[in-house]
Amino acid sequence: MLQIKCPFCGKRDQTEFSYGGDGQITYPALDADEDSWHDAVFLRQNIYGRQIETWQHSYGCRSWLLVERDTVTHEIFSVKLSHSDWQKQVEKSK
Amino acid sequence: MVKSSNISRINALDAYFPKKQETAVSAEIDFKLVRDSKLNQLATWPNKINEFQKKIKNFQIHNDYLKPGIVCHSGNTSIVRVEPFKWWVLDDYSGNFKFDQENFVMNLDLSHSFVQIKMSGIFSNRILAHHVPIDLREAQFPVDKLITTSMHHVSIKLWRKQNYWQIFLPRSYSESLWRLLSETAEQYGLKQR
Amino acid sequence: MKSARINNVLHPQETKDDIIHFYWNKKKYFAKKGDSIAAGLLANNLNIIGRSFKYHRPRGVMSAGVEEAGALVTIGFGARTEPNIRASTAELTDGLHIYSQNAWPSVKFDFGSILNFLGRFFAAGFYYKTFMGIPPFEWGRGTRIWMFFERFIRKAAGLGKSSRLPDPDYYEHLHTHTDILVIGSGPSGLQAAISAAKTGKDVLIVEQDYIVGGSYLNQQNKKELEEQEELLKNLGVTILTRTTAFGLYDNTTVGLVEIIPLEGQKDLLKKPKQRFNICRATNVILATGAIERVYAFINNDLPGIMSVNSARAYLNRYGILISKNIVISTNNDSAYETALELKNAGAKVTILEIREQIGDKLLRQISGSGINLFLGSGVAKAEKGFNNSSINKIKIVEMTDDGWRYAGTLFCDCLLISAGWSPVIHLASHQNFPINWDEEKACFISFGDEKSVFLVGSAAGIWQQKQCINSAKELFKYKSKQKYKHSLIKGGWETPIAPLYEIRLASIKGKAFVDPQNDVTTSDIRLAHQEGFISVEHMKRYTTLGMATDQGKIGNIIGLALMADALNCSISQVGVTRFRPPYTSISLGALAGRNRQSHFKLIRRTPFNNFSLKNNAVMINTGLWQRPWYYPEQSETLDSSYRREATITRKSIGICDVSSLGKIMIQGPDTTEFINRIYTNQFNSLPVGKARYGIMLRDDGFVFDDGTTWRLADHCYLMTTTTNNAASVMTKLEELLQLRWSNLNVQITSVTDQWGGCAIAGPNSRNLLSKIIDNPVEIAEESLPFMGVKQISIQTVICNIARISFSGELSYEIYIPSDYAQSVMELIWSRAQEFESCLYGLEALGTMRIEKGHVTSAEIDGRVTIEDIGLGGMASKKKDFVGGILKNRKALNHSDRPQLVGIFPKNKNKSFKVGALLNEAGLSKGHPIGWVTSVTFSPALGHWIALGFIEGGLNSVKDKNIVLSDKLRSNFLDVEIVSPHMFDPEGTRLYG
Repeated sequence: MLQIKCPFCGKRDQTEFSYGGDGQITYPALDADEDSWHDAVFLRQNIYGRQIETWQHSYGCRSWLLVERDTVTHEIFSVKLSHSDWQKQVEKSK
Repeated sequence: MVKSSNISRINALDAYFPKKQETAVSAEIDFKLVRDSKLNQLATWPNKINEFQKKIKNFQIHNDYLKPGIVCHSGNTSIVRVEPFKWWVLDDYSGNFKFDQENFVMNLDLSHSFVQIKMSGIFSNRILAHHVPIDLREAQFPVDKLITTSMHHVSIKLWRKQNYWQIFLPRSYSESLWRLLSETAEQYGLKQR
Repeated sequence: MKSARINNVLHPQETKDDIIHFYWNKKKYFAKKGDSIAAGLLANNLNIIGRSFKYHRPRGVMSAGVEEAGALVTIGFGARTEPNIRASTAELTDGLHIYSQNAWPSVKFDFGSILNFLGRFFAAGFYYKTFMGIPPFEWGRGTRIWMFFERFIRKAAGLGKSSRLPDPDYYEHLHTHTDILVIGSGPSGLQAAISAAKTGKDVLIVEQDYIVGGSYLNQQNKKELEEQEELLKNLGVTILTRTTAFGLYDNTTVGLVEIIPLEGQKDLLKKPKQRFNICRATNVILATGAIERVYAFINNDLPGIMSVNSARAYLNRYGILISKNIVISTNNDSAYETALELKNAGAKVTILEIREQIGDKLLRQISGSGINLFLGSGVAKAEKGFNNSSINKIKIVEMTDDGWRYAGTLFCDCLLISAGWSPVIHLASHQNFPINWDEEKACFISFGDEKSVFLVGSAAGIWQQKQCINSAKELFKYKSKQKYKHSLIKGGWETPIAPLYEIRLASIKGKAFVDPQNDVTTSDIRLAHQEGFISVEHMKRYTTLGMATDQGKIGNIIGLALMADALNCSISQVGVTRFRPPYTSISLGALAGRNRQSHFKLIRRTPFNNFSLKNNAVMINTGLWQRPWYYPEQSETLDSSYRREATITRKSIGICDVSSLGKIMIQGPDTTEFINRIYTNQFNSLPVGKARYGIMLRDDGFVFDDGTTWRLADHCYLMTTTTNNAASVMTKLEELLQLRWSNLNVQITSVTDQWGGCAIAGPNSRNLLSKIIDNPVEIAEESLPFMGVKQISIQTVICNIARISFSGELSYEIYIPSDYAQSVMELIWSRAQEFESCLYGLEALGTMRIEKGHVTSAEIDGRVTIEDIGLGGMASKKKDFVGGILKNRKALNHSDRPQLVGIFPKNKNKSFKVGALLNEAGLSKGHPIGWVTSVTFSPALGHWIALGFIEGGLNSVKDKNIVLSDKLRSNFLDVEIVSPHMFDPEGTRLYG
C-alpha cells in the first residue's frame, strides 16, 4: 500500500487519497478550439516508468496534488500541492 | 445564537449515546459527548495572507497557528489550520476571532456540521488504531495536534488533548461511526446500553 | 508407522488440566495441551489424515510446519466449519472437532481413489484437453460436454468444504505503526528484535506459531530460548504470536493476520476471532527461516514419509516418537543431529546418505551410536504394506559411474527425507526483490531491497544456528539509521550439499510427486515441457505446481530443477516463479473486518431521521443516505400511501425531508466569475437574494449535474447538487480551483451536514409558514417572489429560505441549522395540523417531479447532452463554460439523438415499468428507438405516466404508432408520446 507524503498533512496512507489522472495535461482555455479540448480530454499516454499524476487528499486536507510516481515500482519521487502559490506558502509555514 | 424556549438544540448522537457511560468513568475506556459546541471556519487566499495575519495579530496568539494541524490557544478559543487556506476556530463563545466578511477572509459557521466526542482511557489509542491508518504514537502525534483522516471512508478529525482524544464526526455519519467505535470498544470493557 | 508419545505417563509438574480431548471424525481421543492437531493425531497413532486433491491417494502428516501438504483437515462444525486447516500448525484446543477431507465414505476406504488407477489419463491439462473446446467444436459438443462433466469433476477434485452459513464470529482491523517489524521468532528473529530494541527503536515481533521460539522449539535444549525471551521482555519488545505476516506490500506495509485464542473468554467481551493488522514499519526484518525439502521418487507421498526436521519437532516439542524403525534419506549435514536424537529416544535408525563422503566431525558424532550409515545411496520407490496404506518398505539405489542402480529392499515403517533447505523468501518475492540461485547452497537467496527490508538467519541461507544469530546481530552493528547492512556470514555445512531433486530408474514405475498438495507429479512437469511450456510461469499454471495455498513451499524447487533438466540448463537460468500473497491462506472474514452487514455501507442520517421514524416513515437507503420513502397511514401500502401524499400536497400542503441534497458554500471575491464558468447558463446577473437553476457539464460536454444556486451575499453562494453527485461535484470544483484556475480567489466548503432541509409544498404552504416564522411579512409575494432567497427567523433560529419548487406547486425550501432542525420541524408539523397536510417521502417526490418532467439521475445518467433533456436553451451563447466546446461535437448534435419525452399509455388503465423499450409498431425487433427511465402513477392525471427517451424526440414520432415492450414481463402496450411537462405545463401553480 502506498504512502503519500502530503505537503500539508505529512505522510499518509493511500486510503486517504483518491487518484485523479494524468498530471501533465494542460487544459486549454474555455474558448479554445475543439481539437485542443479533444486532445486534453481524451488523449492519454500509458507510461511505463515515471509519470506525473494528480491525486486528491480527499479524506485529509482536500488538496489536489501532483505526484511523480513510477508506474512499475510504485516509487514516489515528489509530491507537491498542485496550486503553486499554496505549495510555496505551505512550505514557508512549516 | 440565542436559545429559544420552544426550540432546543439536539445533538445528533443524543438519541444513541449511552447515558450511563457518561457518568461512569472507566480507566479502560470512556466516551463523552460535547454538546452545543461552536465551530467557525475562516478562509483566505495566498495573496491575502498578509492582511489575514495582520488581523490575527490582534489576538496575541503564537505563530504556530500557521503550521498545519497545530492547535493554538487564546483564552477559551482555539485556532488551527485544517486545510492550506482554511482555519477552524473552536469554542468561540468569548467573542474572540469575530470576523466580518471581508474580501481577505471568509467566515463560515460549521457548528452543526460535526458531532464531537471525547474519548479517554488506556485503550483509547487502541480503539482509534482499529479504525484510522494514522501513527498515534505520541512522538508522531503530540498533544494539540489536530489531523484529518478517514474512518470507514468518512473524513473525520482527531485532536489529541492532554488526557483524551477529541473526535469530530460529520453529523450525518455520526450515528454509524459511533456504533462502530462503541462496538470496537466492547472488547476493552465498554458496556452497551 | 506406529507413532506414540514417548512417555505416556504424566510429567510430575503436569496436572490433569494438561490433558485435553478432541474428536477425530466424531470419535473421542486424548492429547496434551500445547499439541498441534497433527501432534494430537500422531500421539494416537492416527496416520492417515486425508485424501489427495486429484487422485484421492491416502495422505498422512508430512511436516510440522506451514509447508504441510498432506494433513489438511476440517475443524469445527455448523457455521464455524473451517476447511483446509493445516494440522501441522493449528493448535489443538480442548473439545475440538476435526474431520478428514475429500474422502467418501471414509479416509480408509475412499471411493474416489479409483481415480488413482486411472491416473495416467489425468495428466496436466487433461480436463481441458478432453472436454473444453476441442477444435473445431469450440461452440458445439466440446463445450456442452464440459458443462455436463464439470459438475462431477468439481465434486471429485478439491479439498475441504466450507460452511454455507453466515459466519457468526467477529473480525476486525488494526493499524500498527512501528520502527522495526521482525517476522519470525526463531533464533535469528529473537536476536534481531533484541539488537534492534537495544538501539532504542520500537520493535514488534510476529510469530505465526502459537508459541515463541521457531526452530528452538524443535531442539532438546531450551535454555537459550528462555534467556532470549527474558531479554526481550526486559527490553519491552511487543510480541504477537498466532500472527502470520501474509504479504509484503509497497512502502514496507505488511499484512498480518492475528488469530485470537477463544479460550477462557467466550462471549464475555465479544473478542474478535481474527484481526487483520496492517503494519507499517520503517524497517522489516525477515527472520522467516527455511523449509526442508524432499525429493521426487516413486510413491514419495505415502503416509509415513515426512521431512527429517518434522520428526525432530514431534520428538522434542511434543514428545512423540514417530516410529521405532526409521530410515533417513539425506544429502546434507542437517539430518544427523535428528538421527542421533531419534536413536537415543529408542528408534532403530538407518541413514541413506546421497553423498559419497561426509565430514569427519559428522562421522565422529554418529560413530558408536548404533546408527547404520550407507553412503552414496538413496530411495527410488516406497511401497505400502499389504493391509495398510502407509509405508512398509523402500527400494534402495546406489550411485555408480553410470548413475543410480537398484541395490535392494529395506523394510521400515517411517521414511524421513532431507534434500536440503529452501529459505522462506516469499515476502521478498511479493515485492519483486532480486532473488538469486546459490549453486553452492542449492537454494534461492534474497537480500531484500537492502534499504528497508532485510533477511537474516536461515531465511538468508545461513544454516548454522550460531551464525544465524550472528547475522542478526551484525545487521544492527551500524549505529546510525538507514545503515543496516547485510551480513556476509556464510554459515554453511562441513561438507556441501549434494543437490538432489529426483531419483528415477527406468525400470521402476509409478507416481513421483513434486507438489503433493496439488497432486502434481514429475511426469506432469515433463509433459508441460514436451508441450512447449518452457517458461516457469507458464509451467506453473499449466501443471498447477505451487499454486493455491501451497505457494511453492514444498515442490517448487523440484519442479524448477526438472524443468532445468529438460531444458538442459541451470536452475538459475530457469528462474523462479513469483510468489503471491497470502503466504498462508487467510480468512476472508479477517480482510472484511467489521465492514459487514450494517457496517458494510455506513448509513447517513438526516437531522429529521428521528422525526420521520416517529411519524411512521418507511425508510429507504439511497446511496448512503437513509431517507423517508413513504408515510403509510393505518394499513396503507406503498402505492396507496404515495398517491395520497402527492394528492394532498397538490391540494393543500406536503412536507418533505430534502436534507440529502449536496450543499456547497462557495465564498470569495471571484465567486461570481467561478460559478459563471461552471454552469451553462448566465449567473453573473443573479442578484443577492435570488436563486437560479443551473446545469453543469463535464469536460466532454455531457450533462454532469443540476441544482439551484442561491446568492446569499455579494461573495457568498450556496450551491445545491443532486444527492447522487454531491461528492463528485465538490471534488470537481476543487480540482478546477486548484489545478486550472488557481488565480481565482474562491474557497468552497461542504455544508451538507450543517443544515437540515425541508420542502414545504402546496397551495397552503405560505399560509402555514406565516404561522411559524417570526416576521410573516418576509414571505409575502412581494418580499419573497418565485426564486427568492432570504434569511428568516423561526423562534429566533436563523434559517435560509428559498422559494423554489421541485413539485411544481407553490413551495419553499427551508434550511435549518441541523441541531435545531428536529425541533423546528416538530413545530412546523404541529402547526400544519391546522390544514389538510401530510408528510411526503421519496416516492411522492418522484411522482410529482415526473408529472412536471423534471429530470434526476435516472435521466441524467452520464450519456445525455443538455439538448437531449430539452434544456438546450440553458446553454449560453454569450459566455464560455466547462464543457461548452466539446458539447458542440457533431455526433452530440444529431437531430435523431434520443430526447426526453413524456409517455402515456393509450389505454389509461394500463401500467408498465421502468426499463421497458419503445419501438415503432410492427418493428419490435433489433434496436429499440427509445426507452423508459421513470414511471409513476399520476394522481393528478389519473393514470400511469412515464419519462423516457426516444430518437428524435416528440416531433419525430408525432404520426407514428409507438409500442412499449417489456419483454421480461411480457407487457406490450400502445403508448402516446407527449411533452415531458405532463402536468401544469404553464407553471401557473408555482405562484399559488
